[in-house]
Amino acid sequence: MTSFQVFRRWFRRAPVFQKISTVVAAALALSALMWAVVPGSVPTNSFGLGLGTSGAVGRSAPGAGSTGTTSSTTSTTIAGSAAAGASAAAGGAHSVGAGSSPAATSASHSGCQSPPGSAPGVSATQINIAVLLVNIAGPAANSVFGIPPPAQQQAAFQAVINNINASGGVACRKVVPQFYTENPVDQTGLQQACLTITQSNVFAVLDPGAYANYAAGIDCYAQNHMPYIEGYQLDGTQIAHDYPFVFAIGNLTVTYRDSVFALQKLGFFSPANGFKKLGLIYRDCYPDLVSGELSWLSQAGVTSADISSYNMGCPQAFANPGDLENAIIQFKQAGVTNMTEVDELGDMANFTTIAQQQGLSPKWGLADDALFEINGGTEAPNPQNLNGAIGIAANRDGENNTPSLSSSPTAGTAKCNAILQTVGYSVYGAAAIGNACDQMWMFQAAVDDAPQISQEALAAGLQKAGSIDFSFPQGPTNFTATGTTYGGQFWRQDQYTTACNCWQVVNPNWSPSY
Amino acid sequence: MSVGTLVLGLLNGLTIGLLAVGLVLVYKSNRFLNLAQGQMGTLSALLLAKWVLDWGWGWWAAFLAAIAVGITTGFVIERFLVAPVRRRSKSPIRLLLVSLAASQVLLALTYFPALNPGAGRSSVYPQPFGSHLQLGGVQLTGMWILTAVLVPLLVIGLAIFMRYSVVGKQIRAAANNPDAARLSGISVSRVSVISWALAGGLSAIAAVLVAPTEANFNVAALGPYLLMVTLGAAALGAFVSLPAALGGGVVLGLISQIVGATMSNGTDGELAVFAAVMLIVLVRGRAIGQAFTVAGAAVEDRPLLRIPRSLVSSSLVRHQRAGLAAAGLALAAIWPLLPYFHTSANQFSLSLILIYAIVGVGLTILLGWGGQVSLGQFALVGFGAYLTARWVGHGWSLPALLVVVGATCALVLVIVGLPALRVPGLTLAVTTLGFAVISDDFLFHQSFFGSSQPFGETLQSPPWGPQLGTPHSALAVYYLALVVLICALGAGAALRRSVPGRSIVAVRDNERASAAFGLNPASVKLATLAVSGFFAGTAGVLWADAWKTVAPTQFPADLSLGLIAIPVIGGLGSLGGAAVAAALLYGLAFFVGPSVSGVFGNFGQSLAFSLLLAGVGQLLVLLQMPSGLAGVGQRLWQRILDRRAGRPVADVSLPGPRGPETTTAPTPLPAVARRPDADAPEPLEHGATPSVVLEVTGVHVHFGGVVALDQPDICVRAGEMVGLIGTNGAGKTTLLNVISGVLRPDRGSVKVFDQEVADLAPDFRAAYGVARSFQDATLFPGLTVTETIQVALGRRNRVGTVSAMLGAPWVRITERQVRREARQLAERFGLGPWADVQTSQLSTGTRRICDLAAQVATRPKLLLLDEPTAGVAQREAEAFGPLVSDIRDELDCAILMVEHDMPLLMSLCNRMYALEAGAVIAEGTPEEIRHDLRVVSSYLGTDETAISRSGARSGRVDTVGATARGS
Repeated sequence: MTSFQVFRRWFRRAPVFQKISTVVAAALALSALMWAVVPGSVPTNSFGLGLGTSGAVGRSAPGAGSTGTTSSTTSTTIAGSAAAGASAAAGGAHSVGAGSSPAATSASHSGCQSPPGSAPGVSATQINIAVLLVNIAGPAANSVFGIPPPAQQQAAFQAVINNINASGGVACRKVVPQFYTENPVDQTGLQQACLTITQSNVFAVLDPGAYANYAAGIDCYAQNHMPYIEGYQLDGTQIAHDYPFVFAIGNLTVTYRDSVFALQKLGFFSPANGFKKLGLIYRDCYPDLVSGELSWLSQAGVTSADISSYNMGCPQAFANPGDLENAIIQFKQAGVTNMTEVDELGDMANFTTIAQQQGLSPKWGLADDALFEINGGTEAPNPQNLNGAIGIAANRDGENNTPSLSSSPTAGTAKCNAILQTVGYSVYGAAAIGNACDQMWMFQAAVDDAPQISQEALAAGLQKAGSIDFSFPQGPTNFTATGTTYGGQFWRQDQYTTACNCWQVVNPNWSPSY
Repeated sequence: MSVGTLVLGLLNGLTIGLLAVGLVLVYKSNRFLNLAQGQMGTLSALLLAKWVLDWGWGWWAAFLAAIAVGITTGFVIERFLVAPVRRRSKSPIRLLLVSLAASQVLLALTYFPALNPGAGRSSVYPQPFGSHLQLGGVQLTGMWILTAVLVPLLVIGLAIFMRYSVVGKQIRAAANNPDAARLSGISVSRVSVISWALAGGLSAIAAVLVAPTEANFNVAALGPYLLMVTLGAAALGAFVSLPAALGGGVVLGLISQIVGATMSNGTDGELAVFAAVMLIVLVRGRAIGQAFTVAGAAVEDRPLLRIPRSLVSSSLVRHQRAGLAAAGLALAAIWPLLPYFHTSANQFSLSLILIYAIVGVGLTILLGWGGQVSLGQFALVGFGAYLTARWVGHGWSLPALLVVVGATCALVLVIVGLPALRVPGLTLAVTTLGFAVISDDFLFHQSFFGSSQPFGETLQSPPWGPQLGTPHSALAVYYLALVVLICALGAGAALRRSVPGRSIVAVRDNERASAAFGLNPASVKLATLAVSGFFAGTAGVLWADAWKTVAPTQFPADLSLGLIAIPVIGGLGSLGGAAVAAALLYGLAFFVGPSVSGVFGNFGQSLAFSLLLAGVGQLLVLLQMPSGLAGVGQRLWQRILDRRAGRPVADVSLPGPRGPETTTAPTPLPAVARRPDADAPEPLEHGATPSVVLEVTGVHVHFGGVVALDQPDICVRAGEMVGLIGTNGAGKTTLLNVISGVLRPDRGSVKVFDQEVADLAPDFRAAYGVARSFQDATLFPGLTVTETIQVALGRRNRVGTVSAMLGAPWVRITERQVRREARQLAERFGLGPWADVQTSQLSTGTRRICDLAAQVATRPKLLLLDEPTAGVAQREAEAFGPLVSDIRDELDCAILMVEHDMPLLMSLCNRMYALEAGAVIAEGTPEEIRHDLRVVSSYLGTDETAISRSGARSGRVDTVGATARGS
């Protein structure tokens, strides 16, 4: 008989007390072993090139300082269309600027002075970049999210690049794009794309949204020290983590924070305006956003007793309908009058549809975390349920539906529109197509103002550029704060109306980020 | 908790229940789990939306058409996929794999834009009618009212149909006993078609009912979670009860809704459902186990290669494995250096292929060898990747990570598989699927698990070791993965050739028989799980190293379902086949997929393309190449060998015996069988063998209201041969089952060598020197004669799984010894010509000889024989008497034999017991029994001629071999 059989026979026949004692002792022994063997918490990985002391890699970079993600601007309001710079025709994106930023005019390439140095993908005459084109596969195709087809995206980027090249290029070099069509749900393809691009002798990569569903993939570019300039918003933690290589049109952390304090400023949480209870639906994929939201709400005077929240977890695609129904029942019973969300972009259509069916018609106060952009697709929220919703936008979404603004676009928007019209498109025609201008101008400003031609130096270049008068759909910017590689430093109020089933700008004036 | 929550739970539960009812319906008629049950209706739901929104059809007309599509889908799957496979194989696993492949194809179809509603459609799924009805604060939509009304009516109607209609009775009859149903004139195939069509219709209805609450109208969005819940609901009814399945759906729906509402957290609801499903599996284990009883091999192995005698010594044959391995290795080594692949991106993809191959090796061992289905293997890869990301920052080297992470994942899969040990069959599929769902949605997001960054974990490449450098590049990772794959293949091959490897196949094929040979099936299964989990864990290390980033989105539960394609296409048992299948499947997906975007639109780049490849690949293999790529390769090789040998190309699926069909003269039993027992039962260690070997007293067993054993006190003394007779149902086999541990008595004592064993598992009996044969003599269909005897010898030649995988020297010495002993035994029993033939291809008589040889190999002190001549021709049966007598004499063991051949029994036995209704009615010498009036009236009848109807004995037959030859 084997020892194991002897043990089994004993275990079968031993008194219960002896069995329990043995199990407890074994569990303790195993726990002790695991405690001894298994390491504790993980040191934080960071590329840390310049973000204070957090960098494990420890390389310093120009502009190094604190890990701050907040804007240090002191300006209060910037007039929307009126602030457009007169130099729109100059071609340099940053020189199109709104003019109120102190660093807006710090860089000039009138004499075509290039920063010194060299880098992969940069020759004496040209600078190679990679441009990703979004091509969502399957039922959730581009049209669902209102994203232009790949051909249209490519044409838009090519037009902007042609315009820049016609105006002297970037760092006195001609920009040569390589286009890669990528499917946001194909993670293997995205990783392949990163490895291909980082070996393709390109200097930087521009992405209108291929990695929107797979943010972890962006790390690949940072690991390979490849500047990555994206056309959507990223979590602030990731921007800091991948500094100085990741550049974002917006920062979700800032967007949600601004929305809370802006809503407070607008009286959204005031009982005088009918506020009794706030319903909050969220996904916990980004716990920092959720904890931040609750903290900001608390700072805004909305106590936990005033909030009824529901966590949808972190589903890969869409939330379980049962959870949406649960949340709606909960909110109805809690007497929710006002609603907001965090990271619930994918569930808003289904949630608002069911909420409308169930008679939950709250007053929505929403951050524009790309929610306004998907309004043109089949995943748009239910218009009846959203009617009257207040939107806090760090971008110009809604301007296209606001005749007073669309008829007198900002210089940046007008310039971009002129560029796009050369290929038959309008900046207001397809959702986010204007990002082609914004991303290219961001790249241009970062390179032109960089202390040297180097992939590590673009962040410093952008911060030196200070501001860019982005085209629609992006708003004004202020990159001067240390560690800033993202836009969206200002906000303004939009509103959703069923009259047009669209978002419209309520107040054209911009307020600085909180 | 509010009334509204209960209402929602009930409504959601009804749709889950409806799916579960469809699952049960197919199970009742086909005896396997239809994993495509949820997907069969997905197309219907999409098409309904398209017809109503794009084409302007009326809702009810579209609903009827959608049901028709569902019915057609069920019909097509049954007629063109399930039925052809079922004609070849009754393996429930193979049929389950067919359904899994079908579900992948159906899921892939939903990605075709043409089958979806147009882009400019409404975002609201069409409802049958408007409604303003409220209940518990819930506004009941038209679809929910339809759900509340239609689902109970459907299930009640279905239950009535199954119970009272002729077709329903036919379905039940065909499910319970297909052969008897056929004899009764029931068309089993027609019954199956009806069941599938009904199941398809139910799936379509369920999909339409649930579609309004699904984002983008896509019922498939819930995928694995919906499958897990459906399986759990069906498990509540042990996969056979329609009302219980519906009830299970309602219960799980309520749990999900109530917990989610109470905690305001969807993940908590999901966790609660997972826990409930595990609980259902445990609580309903016995019932599920009965429903899942699998006769014969769960997975068929491909036939062995038949080497022509003229080529046995040729270098081509002697070095065939080495040559194949060298060619494969050379190809794998050169591949990433070829021009097209000489980029980081393509080398990364090649690394992934190797990683999938490593997981495939583990899955092949688990599924192909062990017959256990894991639907959560990719979650283990994720588990390993996260551990790597967590520990690599602490300076752990690659070798340490591979070992420790692999071992941890082995432990995890063992824990996940524990509930499935209690329940035989395919319940591992349910628990692992649950693990995959929970890992994806919960575990990989937890900070305690190492998820420190919300967007994913970034890591540096782990070093080879202190001062040994780090494999940074994609090429380095590729070669690292190649080394690990080679090690995995080598370790797997070494395992298969060893005692633990044969034990895995033996337990898969016949748990009872393997336990009778002293194997502990639970331990063997756990070892199988551990090995498979280890490979998945090492794959996780490589995954993390290849990606340099680990994120929850990389490990969706769907991928685990797709991985099953690897062992299936590879050949369900072939490690090399799995590696080739991984290369083929993922090579096509990575390198060809993007190129076919011109044909499929962006379909070519999507997950759907992989699903389509995997699904169609599996179906092709299951339908056309049951032995997979390995079988195809083997068949080609066989043709080459046959041609070289100059003999006509024969059908290799039925290999003949290895040598000439001659028999040897009678020989004494092998010396090995007479050696003093090195592993003697306990009593022998304390002194002489007691006179009483077996003592059964006061044993009571009942099955429901039927008393099977009513205290039949018997005893067997050393060296005795005792007969056990009785009418059918007298309790003879039940008594043997109690003695051998297959059945635990309600009460009573079973003592072997004065040791109480009534409460011990079957494998303990072998340790006490008890061996047992079974009536069916199924043995192990996947093992050869030699291997079967080796399994029996394994109890005395134990080898650790790890040392076997490492090919340790002592393992090789033991293996050589065991093989030599097995060969000797086979020769002595006249089985030499069949030594390398799988037992499934032997005749009943030869199989019984093989069984006896295996029993002898265990060197029993008490041999239990259950109708050893049943189903054997008269002449062969006559050979058993002398053989059994020889065994008794030469092993000096006691024998307790159940036999209906009275002359045989009476000529052999010293004493006999006669049983009736579970009780002993007579005991004595054969003569006393022959003349016992109670026995005569109960069993033998009053006609004296009946007693000697078998005819007079002509004495011992010439040879054992003659028996084998004659069979």
